[in-house]
Amino acid sequence: MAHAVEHEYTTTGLNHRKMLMWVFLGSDCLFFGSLIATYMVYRGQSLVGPYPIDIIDVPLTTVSTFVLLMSSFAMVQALSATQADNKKGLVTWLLITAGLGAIFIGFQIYEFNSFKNEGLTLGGNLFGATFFTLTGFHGAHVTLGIIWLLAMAYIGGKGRLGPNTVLDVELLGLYWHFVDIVWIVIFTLLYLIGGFDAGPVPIPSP
Amino acid sequence: MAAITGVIPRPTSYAGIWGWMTTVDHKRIAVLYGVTAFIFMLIAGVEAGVIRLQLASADSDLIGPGRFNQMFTMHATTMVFMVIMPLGVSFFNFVIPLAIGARDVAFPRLNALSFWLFLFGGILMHVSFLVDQVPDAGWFSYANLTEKPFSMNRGLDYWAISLLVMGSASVAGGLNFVVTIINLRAPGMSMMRMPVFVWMTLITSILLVLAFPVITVGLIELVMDRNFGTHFFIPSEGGDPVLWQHLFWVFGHPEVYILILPPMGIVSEVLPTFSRKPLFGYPFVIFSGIVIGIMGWAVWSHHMFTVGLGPVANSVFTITTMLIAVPTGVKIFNWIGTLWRGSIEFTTSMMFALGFVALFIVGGLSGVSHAVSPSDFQQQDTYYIVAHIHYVLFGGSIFGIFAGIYYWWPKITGKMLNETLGRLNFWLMFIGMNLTFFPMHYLGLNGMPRRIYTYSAEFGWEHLNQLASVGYVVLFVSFLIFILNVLQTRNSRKVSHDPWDAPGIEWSIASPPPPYNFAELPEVEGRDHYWILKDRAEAAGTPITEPEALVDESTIHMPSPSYWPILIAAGVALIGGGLLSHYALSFVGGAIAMMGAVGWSNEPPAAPSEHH
Amino acid sequence: MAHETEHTSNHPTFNQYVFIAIVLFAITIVEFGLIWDRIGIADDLGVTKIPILIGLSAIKFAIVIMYYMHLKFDDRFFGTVFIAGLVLAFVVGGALITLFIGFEAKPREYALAHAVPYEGHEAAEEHAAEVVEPGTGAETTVASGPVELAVGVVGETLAFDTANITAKSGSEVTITFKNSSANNQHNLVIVQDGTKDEVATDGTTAGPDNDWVAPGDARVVANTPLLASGASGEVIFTAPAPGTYQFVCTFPGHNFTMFGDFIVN
Repeated sequence: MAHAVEHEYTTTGLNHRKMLMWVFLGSDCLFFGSLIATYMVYRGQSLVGPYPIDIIDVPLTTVSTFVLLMSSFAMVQALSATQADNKKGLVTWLLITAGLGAIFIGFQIYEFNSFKNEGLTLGGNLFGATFFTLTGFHGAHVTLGIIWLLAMAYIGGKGRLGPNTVLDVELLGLYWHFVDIVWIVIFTLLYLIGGFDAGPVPIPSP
Repeated sequence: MAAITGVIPRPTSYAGIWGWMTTVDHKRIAVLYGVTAFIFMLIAGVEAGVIRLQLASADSDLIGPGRFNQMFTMHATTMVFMVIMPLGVSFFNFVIPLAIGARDVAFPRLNALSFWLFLFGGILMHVSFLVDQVPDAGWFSYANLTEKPFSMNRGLDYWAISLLVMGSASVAGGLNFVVTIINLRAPGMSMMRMPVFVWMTLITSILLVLAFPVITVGLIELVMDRNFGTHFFIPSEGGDPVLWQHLFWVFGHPEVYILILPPMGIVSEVLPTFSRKPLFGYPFVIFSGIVIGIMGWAVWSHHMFTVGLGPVANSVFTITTMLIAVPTGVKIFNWIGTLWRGSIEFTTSMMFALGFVALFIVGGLSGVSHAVSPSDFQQQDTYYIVAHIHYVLFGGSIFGIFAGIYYWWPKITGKMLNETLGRLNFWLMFIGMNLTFFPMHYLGLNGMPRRIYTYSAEFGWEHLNQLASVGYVVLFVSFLIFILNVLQTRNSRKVSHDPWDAPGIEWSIASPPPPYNFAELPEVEGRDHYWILKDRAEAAGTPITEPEALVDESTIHMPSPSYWPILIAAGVALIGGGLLSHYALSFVGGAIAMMGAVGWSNEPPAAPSEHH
Repeated sequence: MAHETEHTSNHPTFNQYVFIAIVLFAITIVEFGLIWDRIGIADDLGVTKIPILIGLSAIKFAIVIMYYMHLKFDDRFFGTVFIAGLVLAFVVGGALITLFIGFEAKPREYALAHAVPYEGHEAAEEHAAEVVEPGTGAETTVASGPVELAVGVVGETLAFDTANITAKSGSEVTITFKNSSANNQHNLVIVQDGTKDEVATDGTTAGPDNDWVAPGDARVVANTPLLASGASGEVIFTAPAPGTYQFVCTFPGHNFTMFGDFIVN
């Protein structure tokens, strides 16, 4: 796709693919917006435990949030390395990004597993259903990003990435940072604010 | 894997079935969309026939209530997602690149992927008939009627998963057309010079891209409720069925505009052409379209007045709903203004466009009558609503689409549809449509609920129902005449490239257009560019009689066909099919889609020995 | 493309990126400090910490899209389409939440009334084990010879195939109910005369786990289990005192058409 289209005339002077990515991210905002809205609507409506306060481990997730933020930093370094035609650097930074993403997923798997052991399941209560659906779909986005990162690192390792294919890395970066900012929202709402909910409370909840 | 798939050359054949399966040409994809959607329309038409036959007499026991539920569910689902939307997309595909002076859409392979996803999604939904587990909860499938205890068979799973597959097709298509319209306009084609149809496509595409993620979330939650034990919509566990209604209608109302904006665009092309004067108040038509697109997000709860959201919410949504009638009214006045003092030519296309305006006014007025929430409490869930939606979607969308078919047919095929048959088609459809749906207003006000499979003779609904069923027969005949008309074009003569003396630049090239569309990208000088050119040539004494000359195809680089779109789409559909039958199949589908993605990204830019 | 390279030259330097990363890290630490009870400000802040937390994450959010996704340096069009989606998501999501918890809606009353405190998962499992299945508790005093009755359904029409069944008081009655419907679940519940709709309404809240019959409902004489399509079930009970009773399917909604008389003489 890149090869044929890149040199073509465009009305606005903006690249097709980059525009596609941004419009897609706008669309994905509504996807996560709906999932988050579902969580917020059902916040405090679970009839049985475990409730968030019983199982949410904020310190642990703060660490994994930090890991994901750092992966965004590694991603911009990969982009800079691509622009500077630093072939070794770009592969290294892409792999670091993928590695940090994988650590984040590792944290998530650990968390899901320990929650399951505490009795939080998809079918157990609404908190479980909304929590696993929202964070699960976020995790799926991260996983897809890791696969993409590894594929790009593989291509970069063959020496096929450089200043003239910088857009390929940039688009990956946009996707990766988007996944990061979604997590910023999820972390605040589900952990920092919602993590202390203990069963139903009358509206307005303090 | 990359090494293996990377060496597969792009296909070279443009002929035969294989050529159609690998095509990335927007004009061929448009034909695929059109033909597929028309076949689905026939299926949905038969389902409507069964419904009308069942209701034609009181206490009828032709089909049982279970089958009846399946019929109206599949009729509506098919018409909305598999007929009107793809017919609109078919026109996007054919007309947009031509109307903005481009050689193809921005992402030809993505375009092909959209089509195949749509086709396989539609087929997946209809597999439910083969296994006799047909969706039966209505097209908006309210929870908790859709939950396991109330719908034990897999029908609703077929419904939800097929819609997820088709939804991904719509998002991909929407993304593609946003980028195409913003980024591939010919030099000089500024936003405010774009034909209205292009504008309406842009707004529709943005709505598609933004609205489908919401229903995606709703459908995912429904599938999880039914299969993975969650309780999103189950009240006994704290869930709330009303959330489904919200998610559905947050999507569903923009969806209504997704269905009606493209036909509005078509009509805005047809009316000026056959009135021989430019569209009246072009900026007003554009801005009212934009306002509709934005306000369409602020009215969804008018579908839920009787849910009990409370007087505050009902009042707010009453007001926004009445406000959204204003931009629609603006459009109607502009269309009438276009006709005013024009030299009107009553071609079939024009008649369908006028039929659109007339019937849409009726549908719009009944719509305003249930925008008022107290009055909606009377009309909710009666045939009055059925009458309303058929006036806007049949009298509106379908009439607009038929206007488009008759208008662009010479451009698509190079041949004319017969005008006499066309007029017969129009009049039968117009009469049949009113005969079928007008009595439903009275039925509704007389208290006939929608979705009942039979009624007792004492209610006095029988005569009006019989009238509606007779109207169905008239409609059926009008569709037969249309098919006859299409078939006879094989023998009709070639027409010139510009049979209507039309304003759009798509008429300046040969009919049917060559694969590369424009040998040279046009320099657009204004709205109705081709009229400007023709007037100037006429004034200079050298009228334009010939289309742009054809050139050697190999001198213009066009994207080569590709195997991967159909493969990825098949993989995605298999994932869905696996969720419905055996999970192992999902993994096979996932692997195929993954392989397709690798092949896609490694595909060489052009076929060997083609276009150097 | 010329356009692209022009922008890329505006990108922040390595040091700036490091600085941005440190800022993001610092904000996350502050957020954590705000809510971690061992630091002790969490309680002092109370509700006010929520807007502070939201504000801090909004800053993080903005920093990432402005600098890492370089919207600050890029064409405005990209920012516009993205922010449009974002704003719409916020507005629609916000409206949805408002419609649920604002105005006259009182969704949490049910949750408040029915919620069970959580005592750890082992305790929860023990609790679940204590709940015994409610039986029909059929008496076994046989006064007369056993009576065997068969009842079926009529296709998908939500109706029993018989309008009344008869038994002698005190006899042991065995009703075999065959659900031949293709799509629908049914049960057969014998109830006191005229109570079919009330029993069915109460059964709706009991849910499918209780066969759509409220446990311990005094109006219920006997009931079959909830039968999947195609399944058969039996109920054995002693016919009560002479009089007219009703039999009904208590699956939600079915009671309006699916009932008959059970006459004991």
